[in-house]
Amino acid sequence: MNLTEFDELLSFGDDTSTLMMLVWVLPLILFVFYGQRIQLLITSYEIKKEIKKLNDFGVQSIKETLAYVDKLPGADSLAKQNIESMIDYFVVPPQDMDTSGIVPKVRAVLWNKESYTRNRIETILSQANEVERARVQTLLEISSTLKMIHKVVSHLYLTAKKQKNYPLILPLQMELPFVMEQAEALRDGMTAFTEGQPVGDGIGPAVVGYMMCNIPHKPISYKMIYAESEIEGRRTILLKPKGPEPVTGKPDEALKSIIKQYDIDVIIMVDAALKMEGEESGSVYRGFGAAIGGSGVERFGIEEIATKNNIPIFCVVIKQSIKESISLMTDTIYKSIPVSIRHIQDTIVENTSQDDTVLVIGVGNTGGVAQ
Amino acid sequence: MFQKKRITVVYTVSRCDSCETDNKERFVSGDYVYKRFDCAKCDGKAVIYGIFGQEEIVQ
Repeated sequence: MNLTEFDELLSFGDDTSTLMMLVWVLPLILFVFYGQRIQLLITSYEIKKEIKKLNDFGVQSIKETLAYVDKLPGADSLAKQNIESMIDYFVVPPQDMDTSGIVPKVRAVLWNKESYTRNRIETILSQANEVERARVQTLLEISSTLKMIHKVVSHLYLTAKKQKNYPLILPLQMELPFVMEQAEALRDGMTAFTEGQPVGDGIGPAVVGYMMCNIPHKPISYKMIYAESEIEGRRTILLKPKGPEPVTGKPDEALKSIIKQYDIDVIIMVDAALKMEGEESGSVYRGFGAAIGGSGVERFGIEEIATKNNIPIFCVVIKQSIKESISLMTDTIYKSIPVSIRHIQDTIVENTSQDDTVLVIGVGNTGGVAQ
Repeated sequence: MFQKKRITVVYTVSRCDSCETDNKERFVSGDYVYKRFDCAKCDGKAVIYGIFGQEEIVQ
């Protein structure tokens, strides 16, 4: 067949050719009636690959947690079995039809889970020290989160597939890259917690820990410590979670106790903050308001106390990505410590007078960061 | 022939205030930030001021 015959067969330029009509019309009909299913098949393939990855992350994290437990004194197979059973613990959030008074309920539920898990680990691993037990608790939290992410993504995918409903899979397809980023960060963060290394989120406690270095400190409220110092002639109370165990403490409870002891004029909070795309990691910014993440319970508590006592809250934040915040601290973030201290000093000088008392709170996970 | 790859090396940065010596060493299990230890060069106490990961290219 030469080119002319081929051209005649397809009748390029002639819209009335039957073969040409089939070539154009058949796919059109196919896409009109089965377009969504074809898209569903293509999207499903991509999502299925990510679900497999998420499953592997979950399985791997449980293995790593149990491997860590295995190294601890007094950890036998029963202890490992008991620890593994705690991965499936979950929290039922309080009913929020009437939002008034919901914060104490959320606080109670979360505290109940936290203290129960801690006590259970203490019973199972009675020969391990406090730092090791706190690490197990953090590793359990990560494994549990990874397993839950896998479960939720799988559920959304299987529901869309079962219903053969393409629009149902769209939100999942849009959210999945962000979910994967978080899951990968959690997986990478496991090693840092196992080894007792600081993570990016620990920059707040690291900054306050630096200011606290060589000053005697005292415990105050749950897993929190404070020290009295002087910055630019102002009495400064430094508050941070008690390291190097990976805990965040209870800064709101600590603030409640400190307010009873001191007449605080200004609160400065130092914390890691999520950077926007294009922003540099480790860049330091100053702002207003309570810089603290988590469930929101601590933030609510701090804001409530500050408002009641008419104390302004300032914040110094160190920008980083979600991945950096839960994996090993990078040198860029570490180098932000002196810059953050300079910002704290400037905030103190600009907003207080000589006889004022300032409270500086280092917020974040203090794993691998003592004082 | 040899492929280059990026790895993260964990370092600790410490300083002895007595002899004013700065050290950057590989992280060893048991290290943590603001850990005090006996300085290898004098009788003073050195402090670990930072632990961080640095990306390096190896063959």
